Amino acid sequence: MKSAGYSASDAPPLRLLPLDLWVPPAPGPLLHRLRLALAGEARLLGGPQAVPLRWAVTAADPERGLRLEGVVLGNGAES
Amino acid sequence: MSSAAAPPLPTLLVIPTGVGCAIGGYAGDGLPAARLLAAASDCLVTHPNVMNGASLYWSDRRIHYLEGWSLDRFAAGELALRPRPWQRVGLLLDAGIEPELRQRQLQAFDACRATLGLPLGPVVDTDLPLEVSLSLGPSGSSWGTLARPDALLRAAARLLDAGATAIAVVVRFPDDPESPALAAYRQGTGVDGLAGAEAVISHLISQRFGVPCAHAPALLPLPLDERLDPRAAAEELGHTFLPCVLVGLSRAPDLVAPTAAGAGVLRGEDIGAVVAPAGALGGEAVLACAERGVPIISVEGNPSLLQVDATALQLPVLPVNGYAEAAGLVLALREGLDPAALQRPLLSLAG
Repeated sequence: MKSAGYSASDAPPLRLLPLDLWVPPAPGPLLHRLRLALAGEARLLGGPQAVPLRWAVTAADPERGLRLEGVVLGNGAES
Repeated sequence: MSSAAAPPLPTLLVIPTGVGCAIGGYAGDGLPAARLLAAASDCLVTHPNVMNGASLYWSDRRIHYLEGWSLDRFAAGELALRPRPWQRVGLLLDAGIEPELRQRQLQAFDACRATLGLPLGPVVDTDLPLEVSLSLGPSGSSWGTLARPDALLRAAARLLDAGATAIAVVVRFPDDPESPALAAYRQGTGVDGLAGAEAVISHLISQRFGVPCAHAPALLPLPLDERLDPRAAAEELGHTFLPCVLVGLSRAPDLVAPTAAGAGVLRGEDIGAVVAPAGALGGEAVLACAERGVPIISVEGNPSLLQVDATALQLPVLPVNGYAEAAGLVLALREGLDPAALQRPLLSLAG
């Protein structure tokens, strides 16, 4: 596997940011809902290109829903 | 002619990192469970946290060593695994490692070439210290970050351009020999404080380059602890944690597109069971398997600091007390037995 030309010059500054998010109870497929919530929170934390790098449900509460903790990989300016 | 052996049942073993699992939350102490499940399934996919015991390791062709980001993608059907005889494992060293500690890593690298015959090399240092910092999340799970993720990726790119097909990373982690958290971990009551940052490092490289990757921390030796828990003891045997990573990566599968052709390619749709701690079912791999109706074997006898169970997530599971029972259930599924037929009372389908 080659690196596809990854170099310092074309690499935007990357940042790793903690994510802590409650996803309220709602109908619909669980994983889809979690991914949507994660993607939105990632963009909020790390800019439009940011993605969740690592996450898990770490708590559950009947009213608040599911707590997600994770790490976002962001680049560019904070929003 | 028919064979008495049932076909393999590809099985996913997940023991989340950095959440204090009683089994697998320490220094490769999930390995006995992995070996048993590999024997029961004939095909086990699991992650470095389960397999890595610093200087201790176990190599088994039935076990596919897969870093966590890739494991999640595999479970979701977004990438497939192509077994290969060997990987050329390159070594990525953090520029923040002191010269003597760096030399220890290089000697471990040489030892694995000379004593195990592994195809290793080249070696690349990052152009800047990566500056790891460690912390705990709101749940108490270990977390960490790098100040210079871009430097990590630049070094990985150089390794791949120089011919490596898999990447072993050694990053300088902060020493804190007097910390109560480290003492608790060594004595078998705490969380692996390094694990969260280790996962971030390997996730970054796998996500960016799509190659097998695993991490070993560089740390100074710790003072003797006479109350050392056996589960943490593997990390006290040598100067580095690198040998298990090199052995694991040397036989790791290639990560390929889910549409890749070829005999032996393992796809997410092939997964026949997933085994995970009953209180830690909220990871992406387990949830992706649940969505596709893969049987989830939840192990009650592996508590952690999380309590995210089947009830909380509204998941159907097959509960078991421990990994021996899980292996029995995997074997039953592999043989085409309905797990319900092994329990009483057995309810009638006639209504």
